[in-house]
Amino acid sequence: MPMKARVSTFGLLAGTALAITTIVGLFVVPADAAQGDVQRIMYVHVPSAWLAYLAFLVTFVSSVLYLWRRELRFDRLAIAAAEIGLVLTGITIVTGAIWGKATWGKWWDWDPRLTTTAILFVVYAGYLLVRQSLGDRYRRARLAAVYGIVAFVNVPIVHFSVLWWRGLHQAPTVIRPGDPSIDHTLLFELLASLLSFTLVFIWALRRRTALEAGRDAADLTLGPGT
Amino acid sequence: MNRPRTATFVGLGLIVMAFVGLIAISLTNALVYYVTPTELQTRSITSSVRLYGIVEPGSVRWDSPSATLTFRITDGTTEMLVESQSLPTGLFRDGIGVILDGRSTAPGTFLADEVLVKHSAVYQPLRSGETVPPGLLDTLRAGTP
Repeated sequence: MPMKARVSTFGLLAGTALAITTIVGLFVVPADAAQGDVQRIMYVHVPSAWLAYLAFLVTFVSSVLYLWRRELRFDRLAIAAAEIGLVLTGITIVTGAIWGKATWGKWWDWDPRLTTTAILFVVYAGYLLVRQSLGDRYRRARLAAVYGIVAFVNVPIVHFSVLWWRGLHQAPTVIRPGDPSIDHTLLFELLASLLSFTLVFIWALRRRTALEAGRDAADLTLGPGT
Repeated sequence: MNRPRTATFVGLGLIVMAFVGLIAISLTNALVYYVTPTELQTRSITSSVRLYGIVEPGSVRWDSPSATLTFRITDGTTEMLVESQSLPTGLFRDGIGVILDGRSTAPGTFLADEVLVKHSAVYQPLRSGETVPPGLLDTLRAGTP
């Protein structure tokens, strides 16, 4: 099925926002006084991690909705979000490794935050594998929904890992009680970057869900209007 | 289609709680990521261990002939003298947290095979015209003949 190669207004907006925050993050805001330029990795690393959480939350909520309503559109949203969340987790791990080498002195360490993030990645890779292994469309949706609900427990574990256990990774800078321990110019760029990543996330989620809907529409074993 | 919804959700809830519980228990008991100097001394651990402490300001020395870095760390109660031939990153400085891989060679001294610098999670911008100052280690190494 040939897809129409067109750029949506929303996609254009998201891309422009990302380009602007990238330029601002690299060239306009000052570098961190202690770390220097390597701190700028934060503008990719932190939004990627937060949006991976959001993506897996979308998978969680739509999995619950699927089990409740048994409508395939919720399952399509679940797979779309899980796939994007997996990519974002991968970006988080890779950017974190680069920053870790420069700051800590090590690419990787079995610190609780890093370990739980690696588990998160593997668990959602497993989600995609489980889906692939199930032929029947409704059985796939049902089991994937159960998986998508249970797997979400990893997200709070990853987030609180830096508070619950001793480790190498620093504690939260922004999502914590009190004023964020980051200068407000840098915080502004971080939030701007978060906004543009969110727009790209929504754009990707819509495109990926549409792709899944196209697949279901082409599936002759399914009834019309699923 | 009739579905036992309540049973499903109770079952799922139990699985989730068991999962969280298992992870919490395993990580708190089995995986203590590092010990503090006080714990190291009271338990007199002599095997390979990971140690965390704050670099005492003014304690860092670089011995050029032996390429050895020495400094003191503290957890607020116990101090420890650290010796290392592995060099930390440029973020290493007075008052920063370090995680050391190594072992205690004598009471109060620690031989580190690896010095990792823990970030403080505090971010301040450079003022215009400023550049990042050279790392403490670079300064010390440049200062020794």
